[in-house]
Amino acid sequence: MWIYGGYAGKFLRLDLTNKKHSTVQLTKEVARQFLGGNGFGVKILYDELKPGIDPLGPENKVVFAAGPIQGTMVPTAGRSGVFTKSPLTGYFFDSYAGGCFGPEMKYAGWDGIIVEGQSKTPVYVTVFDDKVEFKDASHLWGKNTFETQEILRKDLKEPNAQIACIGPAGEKLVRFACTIWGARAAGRGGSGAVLGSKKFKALVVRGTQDVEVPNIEEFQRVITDQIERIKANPGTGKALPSLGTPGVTTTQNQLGILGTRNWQTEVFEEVEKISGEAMRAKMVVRDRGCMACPIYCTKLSYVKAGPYAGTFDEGPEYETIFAYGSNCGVASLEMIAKADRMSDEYGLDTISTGAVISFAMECYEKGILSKEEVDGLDLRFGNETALLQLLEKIAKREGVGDLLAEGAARAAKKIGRGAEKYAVTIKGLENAGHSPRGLKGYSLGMITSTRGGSHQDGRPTGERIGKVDRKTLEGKPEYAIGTQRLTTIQDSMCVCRMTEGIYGLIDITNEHMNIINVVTGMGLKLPEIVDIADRIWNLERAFNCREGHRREHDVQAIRFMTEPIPEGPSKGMYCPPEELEMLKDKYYELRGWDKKTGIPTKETLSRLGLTEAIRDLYK
Amino acid sequence: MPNVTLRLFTLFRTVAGVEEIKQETPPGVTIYHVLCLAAERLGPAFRDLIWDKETGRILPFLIGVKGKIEPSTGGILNEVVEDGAVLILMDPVGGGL
Repeated sequence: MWIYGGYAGKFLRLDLTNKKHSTVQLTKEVARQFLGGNGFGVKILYDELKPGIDPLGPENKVVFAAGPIQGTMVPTAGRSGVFTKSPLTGYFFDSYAGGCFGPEMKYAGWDGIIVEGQSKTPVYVTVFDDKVEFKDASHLWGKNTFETQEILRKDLKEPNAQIACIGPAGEKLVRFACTIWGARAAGRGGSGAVLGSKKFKALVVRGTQDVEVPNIEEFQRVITDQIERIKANPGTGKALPSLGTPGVTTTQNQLGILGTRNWQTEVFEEVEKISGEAMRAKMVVRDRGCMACPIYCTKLSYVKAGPYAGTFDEGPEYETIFAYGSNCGVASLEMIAKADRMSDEYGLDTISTGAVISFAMECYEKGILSKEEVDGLDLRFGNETALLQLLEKIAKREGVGDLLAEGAARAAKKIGRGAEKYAVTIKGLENAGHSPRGLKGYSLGMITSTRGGSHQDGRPTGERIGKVDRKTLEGKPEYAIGTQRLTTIQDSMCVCRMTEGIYGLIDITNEHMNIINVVTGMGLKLPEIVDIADRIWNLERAFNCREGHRREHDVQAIRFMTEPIPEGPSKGMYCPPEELEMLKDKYYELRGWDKKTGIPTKETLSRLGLTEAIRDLYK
Repeated sequence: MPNVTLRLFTLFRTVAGVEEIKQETPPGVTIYHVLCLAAERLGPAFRDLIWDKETGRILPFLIGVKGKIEPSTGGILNEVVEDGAVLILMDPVGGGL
């Protein structure tokens, strides 16, 4: 066992320019201060990337990283992350997926893999324990992600290898192309495009080593208790196994916070047709879980009849149902499954792709984009055929797809003519399927986050289920910080958000502490774990500030700041700019950030030991 | 006898096997009583969505009535239901991946 349990103690560095690899030792200090996952990602990228580099240039890097619990049987420990400077936002970006890739990386003896440089020709890399090889991927270039994985498993005679790869969208540098393993997507932020810019097609991992913990009996006792509690909880033991995340769809609509037609409204009149209940009844053929997970929230779907008959999809998840469904005015689960499948094959983030398409639909309906400008497509909301055709164009950067592949914010800027107010983005990232207008604390958590339009920093759940009043402002800076600390620690542990119902959904709890300690033996107290979360969060903020981010960039999408929800149970709610500024004042004070600039203060950075950030931000 | 409609979503619907039920209630009953009557009718699996099996406490879920959605663990269960009221039951599914 390494100094601490759960860790391999080393990273693999892949130099694609020179086709060389090397080992980077993990230090006790970094493990204890950053834990894993996003902590490793931001530490490496902050130290090794210069500010101002082109995300699609050779100087950018991609880090695949897990945490200490991956490879153990801690519930939901199948996740791992991909970290890079995003070609969509220009900021630090972290994206995660379940499945088995992270654990396999640990079994191969690596806490993470750093991909750097740029190959002249398509390449893939195999990592079988300590044996690392660079191989020609020209026969794979152009293949979709499922084909790629199938070919590699067959050619390498490794049916159980875990393969992270990009699809044609990443090869074409679509700014929201993703990295896929299995049918899981580290979806957001454009890591697929960064890998595509390096001509890096796939990373094949297979391992035979152990992941050790200091006291196996204590570990088994803690984990058995966790599993029993997960099964006994109504959410994780019944609702999620039954309906998965699609079960959220009708709840959102009943609250009047389901994004509809590019967020023009938040009530979808045909929600029953795209509900989790309808999906279960019509299409779900099997439930599936990630490694080490007893929840089994994933639904495998099969379309039996109609124009999309024969579609087999792992999903769709709620976010995809929102993105290709209500937000595009589509009431067909079958089409959504088809679009989801296509997105996985091409390697596209479903949230951003759906949002970009809904942006284009609104521009078309309002006459900002003519039919000629959209290649003759009848791009009205609800047109399923046009949606699927446009999806393909985006993936291939053909015709209008080339413009939209830049993301809604850049496309809007290029179009002009008032299109900017229809790009529903926060910090350049298209908004996910949760309503900043209808959830006040979530809105603040989102605008002060590293990623922007993601639902994985500030969290919507606590307000959505009524644990916290979603309509009021009181206590919301504290709520935003609590949920951000929670997600930061979850992402350094790489555990799933589905554990919110058990481990806590508003702040870090003793549950997180117990798991970290029983795996690592670090003996951390809760305040130390909160410090880890704050350290990671502030280094991410410092990364972005080093790129020029300031207080004035912590804003909501124009639509959310200027247009109240027009109907339904949340009618009238929106995010007035003066309200956001008032909340930011309090938030910055609590965070220890300068009120004028939004930069973490020297005192805050010093308390957290982030001397490198002081050096860069206070020259 | 007043009539109350229970409209069911998410797990409530899955367990009950129907989208909605109509429940006859004596006058002046509260939402809590309506849930008791519904649970009696729909069986133990439905009851286990509302009350904790071990402690008997109300579990957290969402109830909608008269255009508002409230958590079950607030005071809404003490509200008296009117004839013709529509109650919405949803369980708080987490996540959103």
